[in-house]
Amino acid sequence: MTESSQPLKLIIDGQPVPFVKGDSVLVAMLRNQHHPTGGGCLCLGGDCPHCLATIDGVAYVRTCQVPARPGCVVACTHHAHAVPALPQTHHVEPTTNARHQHADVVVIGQGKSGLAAAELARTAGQTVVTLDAAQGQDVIGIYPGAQVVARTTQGMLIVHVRQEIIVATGAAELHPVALGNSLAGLMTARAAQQLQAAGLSLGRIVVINDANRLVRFEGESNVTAVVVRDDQGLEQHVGCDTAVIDLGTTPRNMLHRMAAGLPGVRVSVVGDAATNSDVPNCPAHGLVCHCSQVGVADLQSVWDRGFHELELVKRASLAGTGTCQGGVCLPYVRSFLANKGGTLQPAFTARPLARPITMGEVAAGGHHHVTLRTPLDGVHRAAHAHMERAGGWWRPWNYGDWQAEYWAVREAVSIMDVSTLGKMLISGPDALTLLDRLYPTKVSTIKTGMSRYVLLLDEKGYVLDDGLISKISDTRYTLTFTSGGATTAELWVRDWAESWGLNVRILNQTMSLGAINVTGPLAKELLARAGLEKPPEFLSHVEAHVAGIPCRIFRLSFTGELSYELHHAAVNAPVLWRTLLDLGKSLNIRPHGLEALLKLRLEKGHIIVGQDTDFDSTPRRIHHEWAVKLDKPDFVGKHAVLRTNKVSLDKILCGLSMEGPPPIEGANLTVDGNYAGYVTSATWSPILGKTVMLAWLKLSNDLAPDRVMIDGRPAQRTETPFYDKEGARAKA
Amino acid sequence: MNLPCPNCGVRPITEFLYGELTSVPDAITDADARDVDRAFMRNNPQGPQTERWFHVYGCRRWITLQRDTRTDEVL
Amino acid sequence: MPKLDRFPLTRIVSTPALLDGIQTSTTAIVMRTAPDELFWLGSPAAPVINDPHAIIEHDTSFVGTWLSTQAATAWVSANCEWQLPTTRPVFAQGEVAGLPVKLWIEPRRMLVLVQQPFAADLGERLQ
Repeated sequence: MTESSQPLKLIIDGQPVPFVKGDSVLVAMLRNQHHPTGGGCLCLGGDCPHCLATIDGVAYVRTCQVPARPGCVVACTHHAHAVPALPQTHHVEPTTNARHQHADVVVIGQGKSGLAAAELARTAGQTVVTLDAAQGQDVIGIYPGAQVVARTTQGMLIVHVRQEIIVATGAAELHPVALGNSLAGLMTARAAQQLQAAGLSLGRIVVINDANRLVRFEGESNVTAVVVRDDQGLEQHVGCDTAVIDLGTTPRNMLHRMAAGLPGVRVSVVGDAATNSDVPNCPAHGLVCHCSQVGVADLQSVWDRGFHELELVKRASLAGTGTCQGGVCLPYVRSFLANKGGTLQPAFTARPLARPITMGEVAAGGHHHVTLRTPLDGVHRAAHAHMERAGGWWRPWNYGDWQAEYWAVREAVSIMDVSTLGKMLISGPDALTLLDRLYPTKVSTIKTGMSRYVLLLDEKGYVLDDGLISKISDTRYTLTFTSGGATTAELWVRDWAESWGLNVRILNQTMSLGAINVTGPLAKELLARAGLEKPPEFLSHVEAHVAGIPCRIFRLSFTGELSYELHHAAVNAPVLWRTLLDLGKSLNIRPHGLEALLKLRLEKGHIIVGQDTDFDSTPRRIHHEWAVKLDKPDFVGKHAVLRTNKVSLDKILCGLSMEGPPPIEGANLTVDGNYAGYVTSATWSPILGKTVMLAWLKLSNDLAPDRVMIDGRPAQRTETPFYDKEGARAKA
Repeated sequence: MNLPCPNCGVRPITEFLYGELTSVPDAITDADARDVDRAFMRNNPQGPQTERWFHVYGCRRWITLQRDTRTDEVL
Repeated sequence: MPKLDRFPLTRIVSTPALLDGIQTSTTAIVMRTAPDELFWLGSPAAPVINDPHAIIEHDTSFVGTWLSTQAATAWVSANCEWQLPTTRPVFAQGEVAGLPVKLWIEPRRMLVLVQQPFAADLGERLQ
């Protein structure tokens, strides 16, 4: 037997069954006496939920829309509208492709009116994309933009529409509402035609074309009789194998309702989709919404509870919220409400998604937000650093031994990758004016070659960021910001420069410059070995070569030890890093990661904006009033600071210390059992042999309590810095 | 939804960060009250509103535009 | 994964009028990233600009790759929500594959550039 003469087979609930070329999965199933959901009026038009099944592992698939393929695996997981179980095993969905296309016009539906609309648009010189469910292009949503998103046989297609969306989706047939409408053997007139054309025998047929005469369907699982009312009003039993429902049509206008009102695009509806619905009479019994299993009695109950508007009835009853999105029930819910309230209410709002889609289809074309990598990222990974995401960047948390890293800083020398710092260059005749109006410090008193630690305040007087201003010349300054704050800082600085109409040039150097912090009592010795004879004094900066690499060297300290920050072209970072490690070998150098740094800085009581500060942290609340010069004519936030200074202080950021291990960051403080604040940073200090913390502490009667409880343990308010109070080590 | 960047062209809104443009009603005349209003109060009009958007993924500059808050239409 | 190369370039920040006056070159790639900023890539070197306040930065942080028109079209169609300009050669910038990219599009090829912090992700997302 040759391959081509073998019968085509698909697998239904584990059994191979034959099908005929051209069959949809549904037709193949019916050909073999399988009803996917066990019953309900089949439409074969993709409008109803009665042919749902799981195909090749994907649930909620309308089998009438899927061509049968040899070997495709069908599971009747939606029998009687049951909810299929989620896979219990680890499940990885295959990647779904996405494609973007741009067009003047999108025509949805390629029946007679859709074809005509597309032709008309093309003739008018417009670029047209057509999407047709019959050709496997299933529109699942229309979004502002405007974007029409369709599932296609090649993945998800996103069409960006410039001018017009034309909905030409035709009309669906009405389903019956009556007792027994969940039996098998019910189908619409078009469905019956298609099945007969496909060679299926429908047995004895009864055609229902008058809803008012329909009383009920009878049968065990398959319909065996239809009960109708005759001209005299008497019930007549008509025996049958198939009940053909021919009750009229309702426009398929869901996508029109979804698109209507989107900005920047025309939306029109043509052909049968633009017609008015045949409004059937809603009978007193029967299931209306099969997806959510809502019967007429449920609608009545919702009505009795006072929900009379269609949108509310939808939400209260859940009719129309299932996989067919009202395809079956909407005409009946409308007629139910019209009977009750006297007016026919417009169809409910349609929103994406129009059809169930898989998680892979949701994710198609999407990307994770990038976690940035410094120019030393590869170097850290090669050194087997444990990398963590922090402030939007991948950063070394440790290199395997945080304690050794910590002690290298405190007792010898260490380096850290601080390329993540926000870095900005400001140049121009108005550079000083800009910075003096932006920052609460007196920028005019910063001398050329000097740097100053600064706060950046917003108009509410709250701390936005902190960093360093360094003066290069009368018209040129560099700024640094926190790692997470670089973008906010850039848009902040540009906004004010523009608003004030100042003559400045601004360059964000965050990514173009690498930065390495050299820190520890032997830092100066290391730099001398790297050829730097005259390193800068505390809070000054110089341009010089280090290990042959041009750097701008800043002298400040976050760790509390002697520190030099080397800023250099990003490309040079790996060479500089390796050279420093080589030169420092006999000094017992080792790099440190964030884990050690967070201890080092907390011992010094240095805040991290965003961790220790909150959205409403005024300089006064964080004890940084020294950084704010209120005798300056003006700066952003000055009025707010003056105002907030008039009210009594309600909370402060303060240092705490305690015996034993640190509490979790965020732990509550209590005084006499009452809430008194929370911990923002906490760590065990190796050099002090106790836990040190920063915490927000509520004041009572303008007084801060000296002792608080944290997790049932006492903690003592402690002046910061906890370590080296005079700062002698940093200034050495 | 798209925004027209005069430097880069029409781009999806996801490329931008929103920056509100504060304006203090003329009726407020006291300097201190104007300052409070500017810092804390938003007009939230129903209709056209002037807005600033920062084009993060493109030119990294501010653009100013008018948007109808009822329809999201850029005017 | 395509090999990414470093594309050292000169960034010039100055006044729009002065940048408008810069003679472009037939060999260097000149990208006007903003009214007050210009990228100069390749030889000859960027011209001297008559602005004592101009910021001239030799930026070594850009990496990228040339794609054939065919590869570029496929990549853009799968990853770009906005429409590329149709003139050639042309500069364009925006989000592609979730990354802030600078594109230089010639008749037969396209240069994709990102700053180094995005390079690893560009490499993955070009596949």
